Amino acid sequence: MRSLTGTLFRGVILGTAFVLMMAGTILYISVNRQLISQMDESLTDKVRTLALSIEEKPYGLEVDLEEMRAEDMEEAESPEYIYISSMDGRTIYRSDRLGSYSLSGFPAPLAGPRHDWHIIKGAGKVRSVLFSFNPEVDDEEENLESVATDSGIVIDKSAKPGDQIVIQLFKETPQHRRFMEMFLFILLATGLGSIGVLSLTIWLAIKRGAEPINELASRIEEISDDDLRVRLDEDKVLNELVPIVHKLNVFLDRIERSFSREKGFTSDAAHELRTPLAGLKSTIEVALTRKRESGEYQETLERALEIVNQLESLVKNLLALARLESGQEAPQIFPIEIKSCIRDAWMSYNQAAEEMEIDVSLNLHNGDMALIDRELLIQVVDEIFKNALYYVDQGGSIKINLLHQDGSTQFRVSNTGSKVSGEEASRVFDRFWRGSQSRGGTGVRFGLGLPIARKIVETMGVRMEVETEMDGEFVVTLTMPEGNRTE
Amino acid sequence: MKILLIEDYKPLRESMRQGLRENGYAVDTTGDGEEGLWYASTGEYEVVVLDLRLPGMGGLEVLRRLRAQNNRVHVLIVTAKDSIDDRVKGLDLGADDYLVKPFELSELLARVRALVRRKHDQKEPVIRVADVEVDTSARSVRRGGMLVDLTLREYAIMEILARKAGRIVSRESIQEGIYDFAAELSSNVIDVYIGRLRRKLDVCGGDKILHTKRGFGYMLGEEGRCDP
Repeated sequence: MRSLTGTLFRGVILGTAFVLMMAGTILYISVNRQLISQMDESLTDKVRTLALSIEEKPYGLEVDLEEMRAEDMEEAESPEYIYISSMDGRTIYRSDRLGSYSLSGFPAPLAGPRHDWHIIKGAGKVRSVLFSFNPEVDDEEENLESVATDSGIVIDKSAKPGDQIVIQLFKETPQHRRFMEMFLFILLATGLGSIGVLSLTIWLAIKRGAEPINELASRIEEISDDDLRVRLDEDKVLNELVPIVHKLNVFLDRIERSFSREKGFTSDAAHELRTPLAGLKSTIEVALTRKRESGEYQETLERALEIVNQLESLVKNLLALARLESGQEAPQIFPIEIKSCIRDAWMSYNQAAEEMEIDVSLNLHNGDMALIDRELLIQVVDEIFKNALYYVDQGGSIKINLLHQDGSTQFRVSNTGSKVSGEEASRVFDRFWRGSQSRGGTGVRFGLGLPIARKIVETMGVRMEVETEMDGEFVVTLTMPEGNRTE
Repeated sequence: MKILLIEDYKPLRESMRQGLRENGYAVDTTGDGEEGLWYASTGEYEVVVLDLRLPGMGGLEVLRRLRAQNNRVHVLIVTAKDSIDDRVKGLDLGADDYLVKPFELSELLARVRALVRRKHDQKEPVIRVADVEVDTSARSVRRGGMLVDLTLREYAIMEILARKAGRIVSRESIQEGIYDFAAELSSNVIDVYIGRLRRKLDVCGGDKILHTKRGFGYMLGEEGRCDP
C-alpha cells in the first residue's frame, strides 16, 4: 500500500537530489572551463614569447633554446615541452619527452592560437597550444661556424625566407587535475551531506504535516456502522482539509439518514407483518378456547382467510418495493395512449363509486400518446383510484382529469373527504405512513400503495405529487414531461 | 371487570375483544388514539390494553397524556415493537407491562389478571370473604369448599363484590364493570343477576353473605346488619 508520507518524502528527496546534481555539474563544468581558459591564455602568452626566440637568418632559421629556457621548462613543477616545425611538417626542434611526436596534415596557416588536449606517453594528459607565425628577419651578418658550435642554438638551413613556422607548446596539468579532483570531492561531499540533512528535515516536516491527516484518519476509523452520529470537527482541521472534512460530514449525514431509513423500514416492515400475524394467531386461539357451533368456526376461518390475504398483499408490496429500490424492475417503454389506460383502470371502480353515491367527473383530453410502460401505468393509476375511493366521504366527489399543460401531460385525481392536512400531504410517500386515517374497517391499508406508485413512475421519468387544497380536496398529480410525449 | 382495548388493526382487535369477553371481562374497544384517550379519561377501567402504532395520536402519546392527567389506570402495552429502547420508553412513560405481538391469548389474559390484582393491591389470586373463595385465576367461586356453578357474568359481579368485600358497591358501578360502553341494558338487569347469585351461594349453606342495601347497592360480607 502506498503511503502519503513515503511518496512525499521520496518525491522531495529525488527532486532535491536532481537539482543538486544539476547545480553541481554546472558548477563543475564552469569552474573547469574557467581554469582551462586561464591556462590557455597563459599558454598563448608564453608561446608568443617563445616565438620571439626564433629568427630568420641569412643562413637559415635560428632557434635560440637558451633564450627560450627550454630545459628549465621541462624541469618545472608543471613541465612544458616545445615542438617547432615548418609548415610542410618538417620538424625543426622537439623536446626529448615528446619522443617521435610530429604534426601531420597542416592545411593552412592558422588564424590564431589553437588549444587542444593530448596524451603524451609518460606525461599523461597535457594541454597544448599551436601557433603559426612568420619569424622575425635578422639580416645581420654572423659567422655560421661560431653559431653552430653553440649547443643552445638550433639552425635549420633548409628553411626558406618568408616560410611560416609552427610552434606548439605542451604543458602537463597535474595542479589543474588535482584541483578539479578536490573540487569534485567537495561538491559530492557537500551534495550528499545536504541530501542527508535535507532528508531528516523533510522527513520531520512531512511527519508533522501529516499529523492532522493521521488524526483525521483515526477519527474516521472510530466511526462504526453501529454509531454513525460521529461528525468531524471542521474547525479543528487544516484549511486544506476543510473541504474534504465537510464533504465527509455531508456523506455521513446521508449515510446516517439512509441507515436510519433502512432500520426504520425493517422495523416498520416487521411491525406490519407481526400485527396481522398476531391477529391470525389470536383469532384461531380464541376459536379454540372452547367448543363452538360450526357457524362460529366458519366465521373464524373466513376472518383468518381475510388476514392471510392481507398478509399476502403486504408481502407482495414489500417485495415490489424492495425490487424497485434495488433497480431490478426495468420498465418496458412503448408509445401508448394514456386516455385508454385511465379509462380501463377506472372501469373496476365505477360500480363501487355509484354504490357509494360518489359524484365522479371524468374529463380526459384526447389523443395524448406517451412513451411509458402500459402495465406499470395502469398499476399506478389503479392505486390512485383505489386510494381516492377508499378515503372519499359518502356522497362526496372524485374528479379525474387528463390535460395538456405547459408542454407536458398532467393526470390529476382529486377526492373530497380527506383527513390529510396540507402539512401532512408530502408524508403520504413515506413508507407505512397512515397519518390520522386509521387502518380502516378491513385493515387493508398498510401505507405502501402511494410510496410504491411513486417509485414506479420515477423509473419512467414521470413526476408524482400530492397536495391538499384549500377546500380540503386531496389531489394526486402525475406529470409526464415533454420527453415522454409523442404524437 | 372492564378493559379498554385500543388497537387499530380490526381483526386483532375483534379477536382480543372476544377472548377477553369470553373470560368475563367487559371490553370497550377503539382503533383510534384520540378516542382511546377519551375513553380512558372518562371511563372506569381495570386495565387499558394499548397498541403503540396507532394512526393519528400514537400509543405513547396516549399514555403520556393519560399520566399527565394523573390517571393511574394500569396500562398494558401490546405492540410489535420489540426493541429494548421501545420497551424502556414505554415503561418509562408509565406503562405497567409490555407484551410483544404476536402473543399467546393465555399470556395476555394472565398479564391482564396480574394487573387487576396489582390494582387492588392483592398478591394472591384467591380472594376470601368469610367461607367464600373467589379464585380470580381459575375464574371460579367456592363456598364452604363447594364449587358454585356461575355464568361468566355472575362470576364477574362476584369478583367485583369480592374485591370490595365489606363495602357497598352501587348498581351503576357493577353495571359499568361488566358491560361495554355501547351496551343497552334494562334497568333491573343487575338486580336479576344479584338474585341468581344469592340463590346459588345460599344453596351451599352458611349465613347470608350477599346483602342488598336499598337505594345504595350491594355488599359481600358477614355483617348482616346492613340488611334492612
